[in-house]
Amino acid sequence: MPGIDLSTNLLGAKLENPTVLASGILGTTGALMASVANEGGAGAITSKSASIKPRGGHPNPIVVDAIAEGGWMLNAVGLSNPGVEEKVEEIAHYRKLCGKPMIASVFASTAKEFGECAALIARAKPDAIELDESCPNVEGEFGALFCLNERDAAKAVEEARNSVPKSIPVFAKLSPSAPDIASIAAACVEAGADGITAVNTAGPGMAIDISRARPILANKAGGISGPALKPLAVRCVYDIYGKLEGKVPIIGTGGVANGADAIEMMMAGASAVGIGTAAYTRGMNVFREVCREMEELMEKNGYSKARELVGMAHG
Amino acid sequence: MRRWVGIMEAQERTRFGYATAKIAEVRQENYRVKTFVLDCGVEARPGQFAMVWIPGMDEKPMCIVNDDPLTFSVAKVGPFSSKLHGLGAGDKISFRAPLGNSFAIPTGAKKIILVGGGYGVAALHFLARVAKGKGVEPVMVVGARKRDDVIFEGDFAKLGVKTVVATDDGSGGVKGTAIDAVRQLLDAGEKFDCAYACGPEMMMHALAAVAQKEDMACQLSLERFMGCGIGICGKCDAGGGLVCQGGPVYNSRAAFKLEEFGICHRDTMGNKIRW
Repeated sequence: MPGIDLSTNLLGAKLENPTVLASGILGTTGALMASVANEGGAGAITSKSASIKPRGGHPNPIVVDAIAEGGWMLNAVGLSNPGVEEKVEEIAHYRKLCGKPMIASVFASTAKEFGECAALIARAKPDAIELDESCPNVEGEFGALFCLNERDAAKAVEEARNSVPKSIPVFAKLSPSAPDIASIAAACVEAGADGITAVNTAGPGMAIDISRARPILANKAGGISGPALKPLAVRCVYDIYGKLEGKVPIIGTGGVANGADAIEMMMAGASAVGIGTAAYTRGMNVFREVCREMEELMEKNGYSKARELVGMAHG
Repeated sequence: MRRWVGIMEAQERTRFGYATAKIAEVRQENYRVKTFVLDCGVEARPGQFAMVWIPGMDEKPMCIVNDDPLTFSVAKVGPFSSKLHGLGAGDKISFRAPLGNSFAIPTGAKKIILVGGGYGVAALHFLARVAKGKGVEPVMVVGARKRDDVIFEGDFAKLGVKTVVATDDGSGGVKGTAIDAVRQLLDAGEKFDCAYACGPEMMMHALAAVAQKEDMACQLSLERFMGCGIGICGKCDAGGGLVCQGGPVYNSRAAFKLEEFGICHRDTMGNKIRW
């Protein structure tokens, strides 16, 4: 739309619009990620989290869809991935098909391993590395989340930051379950994080099939996403932005489903907006549609640059 | 009989898209394939699939062999299908259905050819029945490794569908692949308005090539490891397209655009496995 500028910059990576495919959704193969960016219209892509060793993840069912019934979804995919070395190949394939920025997500079970895994994914030369410190559906396997206390969250960041070239920014992805997410974000930044992604799914939650009297998810519990997560995510982004005084970029993620949600998230303090579950509810073109809605709403409200929305609600 | 429409009518609707029914009948098709007939129906089209859930174990995609009563044919290939094979009449079965797109019969079509490999044959029976109902004449080609692997031959005969059986070792029907049998029919001057296939991917890939050469429309039912079944997890990508969303049925032109069609599929981790 003439007069409306959606472009944004994430620590050197130029995004034609602020929408980012959130990690864990459709981020499996290079070809699929390229179609989300090229056809779907995402400004940037986050690949599905890779770990050093391949992981099968949980058996099915891995998703419970209650979007229509309750505005939420559960997932417990269990971090299935072919291993970081294969992921490097997928990202290389993405690069051949698509020029848009790529944020590579990694997952590890110890701080040291975060460093090792980040170093390996850095070979793919991503525009940023996101540390998934907050997946809520593997707790049985790995114990409590990294990002629930400042020391552990910061340690993982420190290991990763020291293992990858300075030219690649490192984002820490945090959980809305943290008692004080802003302090944890501050500890991560202190330890060298260049940006924060907030938030991962909440919970975990559970859904029980009443005719079989069993939890639906094979993992029983799974992370809560979708519109029900949005107010929690907006508050977390608002708190982090306030605490860090807008000094580091935040990728605001959690329940964003339309242009109004995206603007709201940016006003809370997000420089870019992650979209995950809505890529299911509205299809892969959700990114393009969210941008169109943003443009309409920005024009209506007299805003011309998406960059100027960031943190606007802080007054 | 209960009948569910879409994700089921309000009163019968189980939450979260899941429905539970009872098995009304189990038929042994051959040494490894059983057909499960449920005590309910869904509104589905040939080619669509269901995610069949065994609580506490796993959930797998199954072709809908009939919509009313809802019917699945299952080959015993691993722990999940073995568990299903252990179920009998009266046992509960849970599922989400229908999912995915379906085979389409072009307007004005008079004669079509259906090519099934192994247990893929079962899914095409539904299509043959719908085609017959529309006054379109289907010819069925059943490909199998050996005589004992041939299923549904009698069911196609009962429908009055001309059926050609081809086995790799010649123990049943003509010796050769399903594609050899298709070529023989075409060489004999038979013309088809559309070809349909369900079975091993390399068989479908070969059929798509034949169809392209003959300038014949062609629709294939692709199979990939499936996670969520609703287009969110990305596990069933076939190289730039999710099979649970864009498929499972692709016309041959669309299939050739998928980077991994005829080349590889992926396991639950996302590792490539060559066909």
